[in-house]
Amino acid sequence: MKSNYAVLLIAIPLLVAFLQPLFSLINKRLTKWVTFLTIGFNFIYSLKLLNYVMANGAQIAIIGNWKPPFGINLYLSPFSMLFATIIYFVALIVLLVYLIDKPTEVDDRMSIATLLMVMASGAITLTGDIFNMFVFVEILSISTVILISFNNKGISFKGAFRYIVLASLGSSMLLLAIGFIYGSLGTLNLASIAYRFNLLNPVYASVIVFLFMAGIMVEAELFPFNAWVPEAYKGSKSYLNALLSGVVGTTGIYVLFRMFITIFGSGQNHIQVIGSVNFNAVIIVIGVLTTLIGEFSALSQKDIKKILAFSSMAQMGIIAVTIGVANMNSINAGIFHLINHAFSKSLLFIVAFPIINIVGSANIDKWEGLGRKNIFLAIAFAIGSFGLIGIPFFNGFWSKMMIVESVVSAGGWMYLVIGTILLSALVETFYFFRIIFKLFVDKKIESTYSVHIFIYLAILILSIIVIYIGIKPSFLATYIHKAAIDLVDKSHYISTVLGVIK
Amino acid sequence: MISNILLYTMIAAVISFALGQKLKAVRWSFSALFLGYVGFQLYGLYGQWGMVETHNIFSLGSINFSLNFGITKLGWFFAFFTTIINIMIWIFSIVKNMNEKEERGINFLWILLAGSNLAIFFSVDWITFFIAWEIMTWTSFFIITPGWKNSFKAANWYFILSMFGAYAMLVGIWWLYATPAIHTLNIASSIALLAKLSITAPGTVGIIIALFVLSFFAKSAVFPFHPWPAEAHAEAPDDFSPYLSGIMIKYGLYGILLFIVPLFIQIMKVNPNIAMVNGIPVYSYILAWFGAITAVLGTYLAIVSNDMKKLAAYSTVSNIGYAVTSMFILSSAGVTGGLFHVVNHAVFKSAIFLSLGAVKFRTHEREMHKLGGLATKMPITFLTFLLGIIAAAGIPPLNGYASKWIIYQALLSGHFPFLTTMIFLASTGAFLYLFRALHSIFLGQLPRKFNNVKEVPFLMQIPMILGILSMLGIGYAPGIVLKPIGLAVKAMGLTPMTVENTLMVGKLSSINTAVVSSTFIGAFFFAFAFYLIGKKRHHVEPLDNYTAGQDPEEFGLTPELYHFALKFYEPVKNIFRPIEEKLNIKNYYRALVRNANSFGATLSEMFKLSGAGSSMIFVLGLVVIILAGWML
Amino acid sequence: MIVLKFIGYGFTAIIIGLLFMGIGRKYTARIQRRYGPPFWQAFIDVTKLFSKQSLSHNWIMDFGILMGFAGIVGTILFMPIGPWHFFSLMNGNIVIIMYFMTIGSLGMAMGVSASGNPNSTIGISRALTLMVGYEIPFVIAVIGLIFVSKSSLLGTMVSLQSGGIMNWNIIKYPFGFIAVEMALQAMLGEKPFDVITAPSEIASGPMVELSGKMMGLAFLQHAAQIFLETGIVVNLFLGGANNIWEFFLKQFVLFILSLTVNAISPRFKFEDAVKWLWTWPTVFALIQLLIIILT
Repeated sequence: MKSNYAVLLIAIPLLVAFLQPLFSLINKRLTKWVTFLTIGFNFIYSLKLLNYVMANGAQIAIIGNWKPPFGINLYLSPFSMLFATIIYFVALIVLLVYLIDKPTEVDDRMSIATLLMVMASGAITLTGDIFNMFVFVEILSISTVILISFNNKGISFKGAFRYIVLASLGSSMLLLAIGFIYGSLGTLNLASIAYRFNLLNPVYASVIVFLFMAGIMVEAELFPFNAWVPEAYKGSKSYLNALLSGVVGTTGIYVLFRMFITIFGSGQNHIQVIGSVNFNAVIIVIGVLTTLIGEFSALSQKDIKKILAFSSMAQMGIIAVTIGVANMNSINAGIFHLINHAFSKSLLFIVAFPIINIVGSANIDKWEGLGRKNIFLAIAFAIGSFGLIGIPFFNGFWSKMMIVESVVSAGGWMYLVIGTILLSALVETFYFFRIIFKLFVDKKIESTYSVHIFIYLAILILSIIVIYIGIKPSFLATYIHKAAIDLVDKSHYISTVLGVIK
Repeated sequence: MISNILLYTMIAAVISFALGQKLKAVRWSFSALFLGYVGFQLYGLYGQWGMVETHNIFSLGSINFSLNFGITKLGWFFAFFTTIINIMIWIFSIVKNMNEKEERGINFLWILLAGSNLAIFFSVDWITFFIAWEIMTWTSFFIITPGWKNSFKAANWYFILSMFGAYAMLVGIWWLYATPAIHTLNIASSIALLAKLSITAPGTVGIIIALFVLSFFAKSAVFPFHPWPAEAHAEAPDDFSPYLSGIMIKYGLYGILLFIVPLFIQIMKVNPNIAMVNGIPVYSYILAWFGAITAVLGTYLAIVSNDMKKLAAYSTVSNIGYAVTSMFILSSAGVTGGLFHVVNHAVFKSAIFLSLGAVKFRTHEREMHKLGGLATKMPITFLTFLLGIIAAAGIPPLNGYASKWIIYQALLSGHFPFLTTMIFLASTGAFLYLFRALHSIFLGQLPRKFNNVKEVPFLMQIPMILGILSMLGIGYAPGIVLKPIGLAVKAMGLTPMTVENTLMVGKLSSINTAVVSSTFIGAFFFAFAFYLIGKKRHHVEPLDNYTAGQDPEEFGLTPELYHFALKFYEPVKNIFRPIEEKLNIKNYYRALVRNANSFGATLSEMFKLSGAGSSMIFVLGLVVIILAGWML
Repeated sequence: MIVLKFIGYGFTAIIIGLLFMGIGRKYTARIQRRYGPPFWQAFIDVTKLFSKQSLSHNWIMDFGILMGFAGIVGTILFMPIGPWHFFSLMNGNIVIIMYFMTIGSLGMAMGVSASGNPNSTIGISRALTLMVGYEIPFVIAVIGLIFVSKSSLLGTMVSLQSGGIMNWNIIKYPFGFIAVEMALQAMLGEKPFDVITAPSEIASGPMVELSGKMMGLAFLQHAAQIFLETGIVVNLFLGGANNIWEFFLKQFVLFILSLTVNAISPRFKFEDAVKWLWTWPTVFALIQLLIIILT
């Protein structure tokens, strides 16, 4: 297998996206299918690549035969391929629902946006070039805005506008950071940045990290850069929210992981004190605040999309804490939780879609009695929530256990951190149980909406995954283990990309 | 073996759920039979102490997650007795659920709950324990509130406090694991290592103990977590209340017996410089006081409640208080008494709740002043309740007496005068509410609308009769329960009390329960001889008596009017009103929840700002982060 | 043999109790400058009651009253009466006595509340509340005595007090005795604690629906209760007795003391009665307990 073909993961969706207007001339619905098939290809191919790198170790794909650090390369490692695969998978499941959603005027443009968004997310995980990453982040932002605002309603515009304001602010921060890096190190290749980062003046370096952090935390939904989250989620369709959370959010956190642990981090001991700034502490504080704010805000909401939006935000906060704690267990836990969150949250968003259609409202008070009308959806919602809040034998349980373990073992002021996180988790458990309870209230619901088999299929697949990971986490553990090792091994990263350094 | 039983439980839950909407009686009979099978299997496991089964789940990083089940004496004892009581309750459920809509889901969850019940008692490491604990919490939550709005509010009390406790335990578990000197998840070895650690790092050990104690206290509704049982027991399905009160609330006590008590005993043995009061560590003494406060508080709250299930629930709280106090005395008699009281309470409180369930099954009323005079209509139910309250009040010759006697032995021989007084106060107060319930439900005037009430079906009577028999049996021969308890107590490193089937030997005095029982019977015959003197008694309708034979209707007399049941203990309430107004824990909790809600609402306002506002937060936030990053 | 002993115990208690009641009525009358009934009046009353027709509303009423009487008689078996004792292992086990005694209260309460009359129920609710009132000081005082005698058996306590008046607990622990004496006043239901029967408020409370032999049994129960309660205090504080006559005499002294207070006191308002019991006797009992613990 030639790893250079990995570039197809980016090239094919890009190409298809440009061809979409042609397909739409034939039939607008065709564009949906084309998108679906393209992502399907991406998923299968990335799965293949994942297994390949799992067996053979990290690879690089060189584009245009320009060797790094001068050319652009893709870095295919267990960590990046794992997340690329998960992103494609989540997108694929979401597209399953998208396929059978009511046809609209803008289907062709939607398809393009979706395709670009997923392509960009995948590319961000794979790329080995920081400017390339910036470009893809831009593509991601723009396509996300299109997705959010597609249904031409006031609320969508509101959300989309806020997102674009913040995303542009974030992008400019990113661009500034990249500019500083290029200006000082003269390279854009991630590996060589990693190699030479500690040569920088610490103050200068910490400014770069701050700016970069601010830029990417917009996508990662971390406070205070996440003001777009609830409104944007509220404005878009429920299953598309699964993309926002499962793809955009996951990508954001992925970048944080990669940059903070591998690129900016100082190698094996993972302590990122740059200049006089302890970035571990900064990220932990940001994470804890995000969790606290997210969970408590969700508590007071009635709109399911907003609740889930705040909840995603909070989960991202928890994962950010694991990045900050940065011992081996916490990194394992963080990766594990990020995967679990992607599955469970997507499940919830997808289940919410038919429920909203049956009930006719996203207000959870109106959801009463749904379980008596459609027990399958209610149980699926319960499974998703259980996975998210970490009920034993559902996926989130194990990752939350590991998170608590790693944070507690860090000691010191981490007890305060874990206290806050668990308090937030208590709140989260409460509001999810409240929704599940409402689903089973004895009340009649009149509705003629019939749920399409594809939606059931999507829900079934995700539910099975959530439960399967819960019962048998060991199959995922091997992937996570390698991913974590890949993540922390800075010198391996550098030597893989740049060859043996003299 | 154990994991097979647990696996079968899950399969049974699925089968039972698959039985469809119509086959209600079959479903519940199946589950009762299945549990009978489990009980039989458990009986076979007696004696296989120390057997351990390990199932690896996965390992990642430096942690290896595995499920470990083993049989300890204490665990077997709890598992066996709770299973027996559960069988009793499920026989009751067969008829009770004939007309229930939600019974299918309840049954499914309840079988899972019964499985996690066993898992709790058989887990030998903390991860397994925690998993079982969590499953137990969420299944019971949904059983308490199967889609009923009132019960949701009630279940929240239970759930939030329980989850709070569970998370405290989670931190405790990992703190144990993270402490280099301990670094184990095995329960037994963590006790020994913690005890050793208490010499060098008493602070850490204290905090770990506090975290676990929080969890166990929250589950067992020890002060300040006492509000939840009243809410949850009252609103739970009527056949689940006995389970809640008889079994579930004991998990906290099991945790204390499993971990805290042996730990204190170990600490006393290995650590010479621990601060002591009356021969027990100060911590233990303080925790005993928590038990005593719970006992008194539960009693008071039971006295002033008008809802019969709330009353019984508060009574449970106060009984938990006795057991907690007794256990923390750490003497052989104390632990035995606490453990024995747990069993006795499980027996008599399930009997009480079953009879209340029977009353509600027929009358659909829960407020006591709306009931009355049912004794003649429902004699078996009445008898169950009567014997239940006699046992609960600790009156000989029923079982509650035997354990209270041991508790007093422990308290008095350990020289704890004030704790004894508190327990005695609670115990005397128990007569007040128990009698009030007896009077308001079964005695007094029979409201006219209940003139046609019948006794519950025979199938529902069976568990009640079993309850009566076991209360009498344990009261007559406490040795049958005390002997296995002796094994468990011995395993904790204490010398068990000397007991024979009908004899209990204490430090201050000894007691022969058979003699006490026969004394009562003898005295009853003595009194009966007097009763036979003179003319036969003459039956008169109560209302006729008041109107000298005239038509009571003409006087506007109705039985309801003459049923004195509402505000029964107003004087008691008046006495305590000034204190109650100031110190109402429930209000604190309510305020906490309100504040959490408004806190959340305020925070979420931040996300409603315009684009400019959002960017302001962005920039300001960044500046603050950078500044803070540099400063700190 | 054991049956005869049993019956002997029962009858002794009843006869002595009724005698006390009769003498008590005469004594109270003399204090109040009345002539009063003869001292055997109580026997006449009981005989008369048993010969009358009795009304009952249901079987629980009969059962409850029987249980009440049986409870008190049963408790008396556990109490050492001078040199008499029924059980050697449990010779005056105070914990048993205190709990067995409540069978009596519970039975009585059940019987009269089955009658359905609100007056009797109010009486019962007061009786139970008052019980909480007096048991607290009583128990605190008893705990002190248990600590010093290292046994919860009345028999052991009595033998520790033998050898002259200076060994009596009343001399050694006077505050405890004061507390128990105050509690005893409430236990016997004499003024100022006669809130349970309170004829002018609730028409004799518990007794209101009883007639004929029901009333007779209640009467006997009361007699036995007087015997029991004074007997416990005699064993606790007055050194028991070497022969039964001495025992009866000591009981009588206590009873007369209580009647004297009764004859010259008004009635407490109900709440105040409980509050009073929780202040004065409790304070005395606590003082005694502290003295015992600290010395």
